[in-house]
Amino acid sequence: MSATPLMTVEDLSISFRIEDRWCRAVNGVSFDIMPDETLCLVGESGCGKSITAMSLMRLLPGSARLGGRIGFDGKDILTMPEAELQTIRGRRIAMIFQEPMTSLNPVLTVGEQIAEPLVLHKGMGWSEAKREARHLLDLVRIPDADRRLRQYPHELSGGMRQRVMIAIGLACRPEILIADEPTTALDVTIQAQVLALLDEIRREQGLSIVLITHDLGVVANVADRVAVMYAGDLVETAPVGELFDKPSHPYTQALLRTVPRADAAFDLHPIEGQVPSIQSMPEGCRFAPRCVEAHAACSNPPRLSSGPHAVRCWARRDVA
Amino acid sequence: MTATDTIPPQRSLAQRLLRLARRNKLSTVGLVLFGLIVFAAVAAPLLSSHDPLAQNILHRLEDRSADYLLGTDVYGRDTWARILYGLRVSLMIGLTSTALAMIIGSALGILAGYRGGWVDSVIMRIMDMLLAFPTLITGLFIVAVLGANFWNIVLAITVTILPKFARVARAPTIALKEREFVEAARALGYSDLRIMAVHIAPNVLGEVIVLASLWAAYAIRIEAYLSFIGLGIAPPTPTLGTMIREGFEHILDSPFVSIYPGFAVLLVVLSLNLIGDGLRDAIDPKLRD
Repeated sequence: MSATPLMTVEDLSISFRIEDRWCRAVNGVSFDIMPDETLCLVGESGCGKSITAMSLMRLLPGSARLGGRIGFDGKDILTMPEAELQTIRGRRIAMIFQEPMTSLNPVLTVGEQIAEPLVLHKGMGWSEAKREARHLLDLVRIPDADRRLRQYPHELSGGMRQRVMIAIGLACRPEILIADEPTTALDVTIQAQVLALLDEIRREQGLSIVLITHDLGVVANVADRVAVMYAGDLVETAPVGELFDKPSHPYTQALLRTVPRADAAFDLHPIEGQVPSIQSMPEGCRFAPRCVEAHAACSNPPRLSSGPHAVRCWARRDVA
Repeated sequence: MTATDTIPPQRSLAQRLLRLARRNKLSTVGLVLFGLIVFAAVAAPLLSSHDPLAQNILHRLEDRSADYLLGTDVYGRDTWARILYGLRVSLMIGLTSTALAMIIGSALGILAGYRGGWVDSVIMRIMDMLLAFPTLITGLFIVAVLGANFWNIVLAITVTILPKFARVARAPTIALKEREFVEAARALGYSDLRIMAVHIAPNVLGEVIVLASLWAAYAIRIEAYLSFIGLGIAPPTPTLGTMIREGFEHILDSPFVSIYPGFAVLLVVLSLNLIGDGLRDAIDPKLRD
């Protein structure tokens, strides 16, 4: 992939103040978002993937301290004035959330909520925006669109609401769609449908999707590239095929072993130990205390290697 | 899932209203009563043949008769006509001040709840200061300082009940701003003002409207209090409060001159309270089917 990236995240760090101490929740993460690709951010709960995604639009609360640079369209999202951000949010970068049940405003109709960004960002009149909303419902495969537009969110099922969220996100034809665990709250069958829909729309509309998930099955299905996060560090990034074929970082390897398989004996391989608390991060490699291959060098923080398949591990200087 | 989803049949507005009415008989009574009262006030010239201001010294403090439906007051003015015209003024004052208090109070409450921090502290401490005075004292002070005319009385009542709206709007706003749909609205590039006005306000509206119907009754009572102690609309314009006060001077020999307008206040307050109770039940999701 030689195209210029849509968005460049450089050395992004996010700290929160906990009991008079600044704690780094995200520790110098760098990655690119290429045009027309699905990038998956993977990691277990609390590894910083959601706040990384939020920071791409600078949606974190004012109490968070951000460092590094997020380049988008020649500008830095992190230092941009709020007013300018508001012309990017929803229009050029959109986001869908984990909970379709609570992400829609309960007192506004579906049609109003899909039409609103169009009216605001595209300067459409309400009737034109409503017509466009109808097309968007068709796009996310919601039948009986005219009637659905007049309904309130509580009249829709969870899968339906997540489709509506996707329609709202896509309304202004953004270049990047950030999806923060869009399927965790849904049934497995609906999950597959929603993911297939996202994938289809990405192909049709040619946008980039940043998908945050902890589900490796999802990753295998839709990702082009994967970035694995652990305790605020980006530990490995690679094209999806390569990551599953040749996982390099001990954490990625361990993570892949945790997936139950139908063909193997009924053996689950959990990763021993716990994610370190944000207030007591180990010196050096943050995964070292749980790592089966840890050795003396691991007491110093490893750097991410370069190249399309990058790893942050002392034992893997040779890959890439 | 999609094709087989059943969509509940949409009921027409009339059907839904009828259903609501059947479920809540008392507030229907309140609504009908309030409707009749408003109609009586609007149609005052048609419902009485007397001029509410015309004095007739020969017919002072008369009892009920075919000509004077509810008798006359100390100047020989028709009590029925004065009640109808007085209702106009009282309702105007009560409803205008409630509407103003509702709009300004909710806006302040939403702003305080949404912004938090020092904005919240400043707004709510001012509201607390206003609440610290007994309601009547605040109103009394404003009217006494500014003088008694329509807008000053409206202002006095508005300021008196505005903090209650601010409080009621603030609490749900604090809960709402943590909800994901507000986060989603921010992610769509909506400004804070838009989020407050378009996304939070309609969610708070239910509770605010219940309060408005209850406080409208209170506003009408405050108007009556102020008039009763002589700080209301200047005579001879009738309001329910001034009528009670004027009749009070002769309460021992002709009690009905005070009792009839008092009864009118009672009916207005009762009807609004019944409506408010019904609305509260209708809006409480636990009582909804």
